[in-house]
Amino acid sequence: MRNFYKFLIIATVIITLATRLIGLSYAPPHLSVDEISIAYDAYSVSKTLKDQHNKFLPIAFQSHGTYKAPLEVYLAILPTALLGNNEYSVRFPSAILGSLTVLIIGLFVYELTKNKNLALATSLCLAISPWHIFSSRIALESNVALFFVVLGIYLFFYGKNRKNKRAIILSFISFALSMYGYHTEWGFTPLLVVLLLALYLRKKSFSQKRIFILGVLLFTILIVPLFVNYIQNLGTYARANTELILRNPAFAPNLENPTISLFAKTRTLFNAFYGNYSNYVNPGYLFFNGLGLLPSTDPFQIGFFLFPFLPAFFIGIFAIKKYFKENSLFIYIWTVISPIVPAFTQGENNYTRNLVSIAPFTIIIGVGCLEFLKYLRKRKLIYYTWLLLIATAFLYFLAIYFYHYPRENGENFQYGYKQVALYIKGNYSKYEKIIIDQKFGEGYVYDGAPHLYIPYFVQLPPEYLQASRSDPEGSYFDKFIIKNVNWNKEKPQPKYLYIVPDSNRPPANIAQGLKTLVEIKNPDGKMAFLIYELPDSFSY
Amino acid sequence: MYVPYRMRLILFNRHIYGYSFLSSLAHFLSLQNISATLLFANIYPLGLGLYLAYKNKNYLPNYICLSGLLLAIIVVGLNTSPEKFNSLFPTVPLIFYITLSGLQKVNLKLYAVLFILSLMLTFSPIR
Repeated sequence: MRNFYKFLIIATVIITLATRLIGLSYAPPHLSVDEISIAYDAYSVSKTLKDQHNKFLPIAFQSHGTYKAPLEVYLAILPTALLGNNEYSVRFPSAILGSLTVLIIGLFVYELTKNKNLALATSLCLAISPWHIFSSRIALESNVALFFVVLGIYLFFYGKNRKNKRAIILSFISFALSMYGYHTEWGFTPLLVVLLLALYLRKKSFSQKRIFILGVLLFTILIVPLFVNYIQNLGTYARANTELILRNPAFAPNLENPTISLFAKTRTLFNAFYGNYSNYVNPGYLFFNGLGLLPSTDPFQIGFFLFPFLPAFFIGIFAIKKYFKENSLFIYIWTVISPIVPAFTQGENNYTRNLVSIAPFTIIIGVGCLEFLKYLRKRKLIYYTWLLLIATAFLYFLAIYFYHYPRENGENFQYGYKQVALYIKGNYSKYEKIIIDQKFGEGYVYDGAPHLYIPYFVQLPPEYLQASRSDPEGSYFDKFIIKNVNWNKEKPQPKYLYIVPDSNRPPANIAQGLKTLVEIKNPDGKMAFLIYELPDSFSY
Repeated sequence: MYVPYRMRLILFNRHIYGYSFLSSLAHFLSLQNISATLLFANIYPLGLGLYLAYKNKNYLPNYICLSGLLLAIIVVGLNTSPEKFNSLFPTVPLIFYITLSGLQKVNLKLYAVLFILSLMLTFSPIR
């Protein structure tokens, strides 16, 4: 039994590290548009202490019309300095903190229940959760924030149970860091702190409360810069503001209509919120199709958790009290409040915003697994069938994630810009101007971010982009011109390099003179980008 | 055909129907669907009733009820219509029984607030 327990611990560690750290440059197939923004800012700050917009050590990083939480960028600076500009550097912090979350959640469960089996079951459930593996393999702000939330809760209970003041102070620092990690935590973490204080400090004397009051004060002081920055940039948090449920075009005009009663408006808002909340906790979404790795027409979708865990989830809801006893109320309220902030946003369900729910859901599943296995102990056939089903579902997820997903989703990750950049890097000195089309993909409709991908992978000194200028035609830095290439107006010249998507090939009269240097294909074989130059001997 | 081809050949057999059945059932078990049938406030006593059923194995009245529940679940899982509330009709007595059992354990003040809120949200004027 003891050997089996050791085997399970080793298996959990191996699964955690292998699924989160191996092949980070391959799956997902390319840095996404959000990741390249983080990667470039980390590179820029590491070299100049300024971001791409020439701001000195910002508290919020301007990116694609909105502002990003800063922690992920600052965490990526050291790996970038050590490992250079590549996928590992930017994804490494999320992968490492994701792996540590698996450990911390186990320690937290053990701290509250003193049950080793439950702690291990919870860690293992998180280790094999498709949601957590997926989130840990990309530079995801919410995954970093999740780590600090779970760490904060663990340290809070560790400090409270052992009267360890240092742990209590560290827990409040961790809560504050979570708010620097992702915007969902701006709403969630204060709620969590209030909940913890309300549940556990009610009956304590002032002297016992003193360290917690100090912790809250420290927490407040630490998050002040975040809110000062928010107020200073209120107008520029455009996207964050439009994401709120209040801006839903379906009923936003009604909310501003003075002839509609306040009660009717409240009702409309509540129904919208409740609908969102219900969608976020829908078992079908959580266990069958939430992750969306496959096209929506595919009947065999993958959920956030492996589908055989569905009965464990329902059992776990009722069995929490048995294991967590007086702390069960905290687990229940934690579960209920986790999807509140994402439910206040509009649009389709978003796995990133709701990632904070993964911790309480996993604890419930862990409890359910333990109870279910106890129940099935004398029903060997069902017992082994269930375990086999879990193993099969996990292997199926791995096969889809590592084999199918990188091949089919190149375009979603703007695949090809890195390959373009590597060509430019090797031939940089040959050209006077490098003209890159800012559109990509089929139909020539998507705006890409070559102004970040190219200088990042070329390792262009950040000062060039910081000094970039732009006009309605495009943007310009160093020898680069990023614009929508209109071949009818274009006059190719020798020593000019053209990079265009397959959907914007030059017409025949221009193409006859151009030499195709490289064809870059997506992993699924479809053409992504073409690189052209005009040979010296040719003139139009 | 999506890759990995061999994996899908193993998995894409009749088991897909079982998976689709479970998926359909799980999607039906949303808070919104339950509250549309029972009122938002009644999720609270229903949850408590289910907890009592979980704690006490002799709680549920008899196997006929359980068979009815199983039948309804199968119908819900197989029903491809988005309007499949009717599939739950055979289980209404059982759901009422569980909800009423849970009602004995509720915090009355909290339940009263939720109940009034539910009524207001359900029957209040739109404008």
